[in-house]
Amino acid sequence: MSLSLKTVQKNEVEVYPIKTKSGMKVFFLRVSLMLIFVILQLSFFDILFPWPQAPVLLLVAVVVWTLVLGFPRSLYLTVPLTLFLDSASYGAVSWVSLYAVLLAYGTSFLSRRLLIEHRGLSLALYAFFTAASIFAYQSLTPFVSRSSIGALVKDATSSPFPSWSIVFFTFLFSCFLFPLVYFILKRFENHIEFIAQKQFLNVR
Amino acid sequence: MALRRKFTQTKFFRALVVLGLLGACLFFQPRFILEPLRSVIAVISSPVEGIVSALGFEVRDAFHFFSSIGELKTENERLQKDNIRLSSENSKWESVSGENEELRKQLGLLPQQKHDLLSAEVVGRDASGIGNWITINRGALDDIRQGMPVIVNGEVLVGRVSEVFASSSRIMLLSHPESQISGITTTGEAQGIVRGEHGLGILFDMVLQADSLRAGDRLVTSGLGGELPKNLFVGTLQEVRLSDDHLYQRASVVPPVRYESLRYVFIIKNSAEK
Repeated sequence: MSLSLKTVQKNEVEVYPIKTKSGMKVFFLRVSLMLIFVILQLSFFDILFPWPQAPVLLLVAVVVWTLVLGFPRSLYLTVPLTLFLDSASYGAVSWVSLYAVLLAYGTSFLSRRLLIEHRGLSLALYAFFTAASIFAYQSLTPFVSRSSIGALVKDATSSPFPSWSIVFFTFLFSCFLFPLVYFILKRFENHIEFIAQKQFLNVR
Repeated sequence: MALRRKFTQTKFFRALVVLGLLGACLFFQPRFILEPLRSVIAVISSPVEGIVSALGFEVRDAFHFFSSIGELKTENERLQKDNIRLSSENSKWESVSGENEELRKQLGLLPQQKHDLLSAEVVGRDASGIGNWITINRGALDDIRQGMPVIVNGEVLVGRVSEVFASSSRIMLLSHPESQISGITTTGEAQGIVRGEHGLGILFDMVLQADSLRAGDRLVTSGLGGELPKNLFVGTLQEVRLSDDHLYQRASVVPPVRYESLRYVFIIKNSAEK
């Protein structure tokens, strides 16, 4: 008896069809999680730690999603996630969207070359990479326009670089946040996978 | 034999396409893409933001309490001294205030400082630190309108309502790069523009060289233009210098409150001072 089972290959674009019931559920869960991340970033982390000058939680989530799902699939989550942040904050597409895509590509590039399991020491390595990429975001932001080309010159000439204490704190904070987000998203993606597989296998 | 992918199937190509699209959006800034989404997100997230931000404030206050235990004794002594000084000053001002009210009545002038205030809680903050805005839990349903001034501690101006959603609003703080209001020193000797310095501070700019500007002067709103009530306190002047073109004077302004620690604010819905 042949069983028609649709397998999901890693690093292959596989979007669960929204038309199906489980596809809708997956879509709803993903959008909800993205909104939760954006709300947590703007209403919790930015109130608790107003200094980092970077959407730390969202950048960590981009790295984790790329490690868990691979670059092509994470792209479908990275772009909406940053667009949600942009619409909730600036109201226009900002530099953070561009940087998040570059970060996802960089993470994918690194994960392919290192060829290591995402556990133990490698987790620490990726946490360090995430912290370094957030530092890069903080360093580049003064030179890049956030909202308009007109602001580019103004920002580049007089927007200051964050102090070293802020950079150091953000670095430690990102390193601490990475494993937490990694385990949450890993479990979340396992759950999503289970929901999707349940339909194909017709599990009751 | 290794299977060669077409260039259009590579990750690099996909990244290029997405970067190109986002780059075009960044360059042309088509607001219609995110504008509809913005209102929807504001409505959906508004109730959750209130809970999450309250939690954030509580955790921050707890951190602050434990980190400042060592300073409590010194702080307490300083506050006791301040209390004695302010009590004596207060008794003096009470008599002056009564006298002022009596004279205003006799001259037929309108009573001062009659603001119709609405309290609000901060539920969101800018992630960049440079944009410098806050989100509050009051919106169009509470009759909030664009341009309304936002104050704290009685008469301290912190910003203006820049965007209004159904149950939340965005406040552009005075330190926002696009914030510009008309200001005057309490001595009345210098008038100029109060504007944000890239989200990090406030600058009192465009003050004529003939005007007298000194460090330590107190800065208030002038009320010119009719958008803001006059005499709202903005801050104290510090470090007076000439502008880059040497035509005007300018000074850094130290606000009396730290914008990153704002939790409750008041919106002036109507004012007799306009």
